[in-house]
Amino acid sequence: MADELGRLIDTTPYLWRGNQPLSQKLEVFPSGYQTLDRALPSGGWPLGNIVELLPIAAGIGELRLLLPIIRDITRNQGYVVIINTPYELYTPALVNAGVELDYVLRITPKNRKDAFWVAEKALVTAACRMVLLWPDGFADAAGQSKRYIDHRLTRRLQVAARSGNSILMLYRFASHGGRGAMNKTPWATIRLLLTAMEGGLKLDVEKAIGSHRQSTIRLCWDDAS
Amino acid sequence: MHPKSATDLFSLPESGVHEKTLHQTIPLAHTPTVTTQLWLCIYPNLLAVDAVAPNTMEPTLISEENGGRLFVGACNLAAEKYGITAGMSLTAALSLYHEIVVLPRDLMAEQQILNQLADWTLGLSSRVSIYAGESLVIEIKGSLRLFGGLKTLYEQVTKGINAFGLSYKTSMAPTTKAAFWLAKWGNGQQIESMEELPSTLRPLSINVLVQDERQLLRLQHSGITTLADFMRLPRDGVARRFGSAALKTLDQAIGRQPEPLKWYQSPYRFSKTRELYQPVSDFSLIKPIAVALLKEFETYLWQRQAITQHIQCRLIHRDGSETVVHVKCSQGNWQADHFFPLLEEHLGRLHLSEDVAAVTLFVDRIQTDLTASQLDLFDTTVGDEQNWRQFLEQIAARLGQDVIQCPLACADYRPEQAIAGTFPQLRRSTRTGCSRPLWLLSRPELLAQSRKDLEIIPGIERIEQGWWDGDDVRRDYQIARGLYGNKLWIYFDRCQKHWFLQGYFG
Repeated sequence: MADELGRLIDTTPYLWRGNQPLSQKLEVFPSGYQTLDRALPSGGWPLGNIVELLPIAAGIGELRLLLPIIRDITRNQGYVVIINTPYELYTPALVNAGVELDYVLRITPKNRKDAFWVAEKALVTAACRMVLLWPDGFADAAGQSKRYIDHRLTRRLQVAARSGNSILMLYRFASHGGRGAMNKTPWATIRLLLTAMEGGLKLDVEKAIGSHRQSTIRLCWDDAS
Repeated sequence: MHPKSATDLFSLPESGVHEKTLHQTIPLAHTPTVTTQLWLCIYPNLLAVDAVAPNTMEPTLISEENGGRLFVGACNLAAEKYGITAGMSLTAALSLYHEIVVLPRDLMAEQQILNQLADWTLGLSSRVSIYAGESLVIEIKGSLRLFGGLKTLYEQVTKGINAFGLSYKTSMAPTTKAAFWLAKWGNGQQIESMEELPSTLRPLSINVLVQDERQLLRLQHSGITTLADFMRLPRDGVARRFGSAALKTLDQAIGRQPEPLKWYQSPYRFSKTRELYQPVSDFSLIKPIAVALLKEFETYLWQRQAITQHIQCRLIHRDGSETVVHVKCSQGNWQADHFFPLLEEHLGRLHLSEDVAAVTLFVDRIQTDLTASQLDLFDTTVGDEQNWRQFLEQIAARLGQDVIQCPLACADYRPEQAIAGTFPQLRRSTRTGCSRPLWLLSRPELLAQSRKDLEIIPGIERIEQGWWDGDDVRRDYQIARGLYGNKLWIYFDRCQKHWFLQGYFG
């Protein structure tokens, strides 16, 4: 029984022992912050997976966190698709960070169904290496913004990310004015709660493949490579 | 004639002196150039009969009229068995076999068959020409490698033409004229080199060269009945006595002069309709038909080495009304696999009020004048980039182009003017030195004067711009810290005397 269980864990990439390092090394993109790479059990942002980011509010540096990886991807002629941002993207700030705008595509779908559809298509497209998706913020028929996501939708995205060997960054505001209940996706490989910190960002690891420890990472912007 | 004393038309001058004198007397046509062309001629020898009575076993002849005299224009093998030959009078033919089927000539039908044949041969080569109004010449040198040699190419040709049910003769030569002559009057010789050409053409009758009856008679009276006889004549004498037209024709046949050709181009339009056995409203039932049509279209484009950017799928309802779906691509393509996902997206969004009885695929914008890169199968850069374009097209097809924005940075100090989103085009990028937020509100939000939760971080940036285009901006920008420690980009409008929220340092 124990042997079978062990074999199952060893052969199934979705299962891992919380108290042991990963049996299979995940292919990762360096996050651009040494503190973060060291703290994440995978050693960077894992390709072919979903990373769920839960910022407490807008304006704490939740997007700045990803600027190094966006810069690295776009400079290597990989596309980054940004779907349904809560606000307009201020492009001069991206340029300042060294991002090649030619490889950034912003898509503003009109409803959540389309947003997921675009995300899935983008994730499987070889040229696209990363998708940033804000799935919330769409008003339903009653004018209420819906924050509950069917797990089957995120499962589809996970499959898409796997087949395209790309990363999905799923952004969901943790507070969002307290309106509507938010469910976290079980398909995320890494889930980080983001809070403000002077000169940086505080990341609480809620979940990370390869570890069951709930650690806190204090990221300084000056760490960025 | 004294062949020895005259200069043989087909032997090149041997000595320099000789050449010089030649040039003084008559301008010799260009010296032969090494040609890399190889022409296949398909000559439907019974076209007149096949056009009006396809696949007939009955003895049949086509009657033609010349100056009130009816004669046999062409006849099939079954008629020839009774001794009937082309050119004899109709009365004579009828006396040989009185039950023979006599049909009038149909030039339109003949032309149509040639066009169909030409359409088909476009699959062998893109250089096809309808020659002399009665045969096809096809440049096959460029296609030999594709087909793996002459033998397989001939097999393809035989199989293809047999499907048309035509009687035909073929030949091959390095010039179009020679290929046509050998197919029509020769024994279907296959000649690959220029050197063999004159000797192969020599036995042909002089008729191939001179059509004018009077000239022909004059030549025949001089004892010139074959091309060999004609070739022995001195050039200058020939030109004087018979005009230069015959010389030019001969030069073209043996490759001394190029022959202008009009390439066959199929009509630039594709329209195919498939009817459904039963009117349906379900897209899953329309899909296989759309796929079949697109596959057919792919072959059509492939044969023409053509691409298109715009296809129309017309869903025809029972009452004859149509629902038209337009599929547009940013880049020309010919593959069914490319068009189908796009079409599927369009069809999926459609709300049909009525059942569909038939589906038409209609394309009238077909490009054939392609640059090499558009059709380069081995271009390695295509893969990812093409995938990406397909992705963009799919989004545009389903969500509309306005949802796609490629961020664009403009050199303008006014934040609203510095961002712009457009569908893929040229992008400029500029760098500014100031600290800028990543998030910008699409419209600045008025801040309540009494917001106690905001803590202003010292530092001020004044922007006074836009007086030149009427969009005057006079603002003092500051950074404020919000309730969650988040940073806000706010400004005091010195014209309106109010605080506004412009963005977040995301």
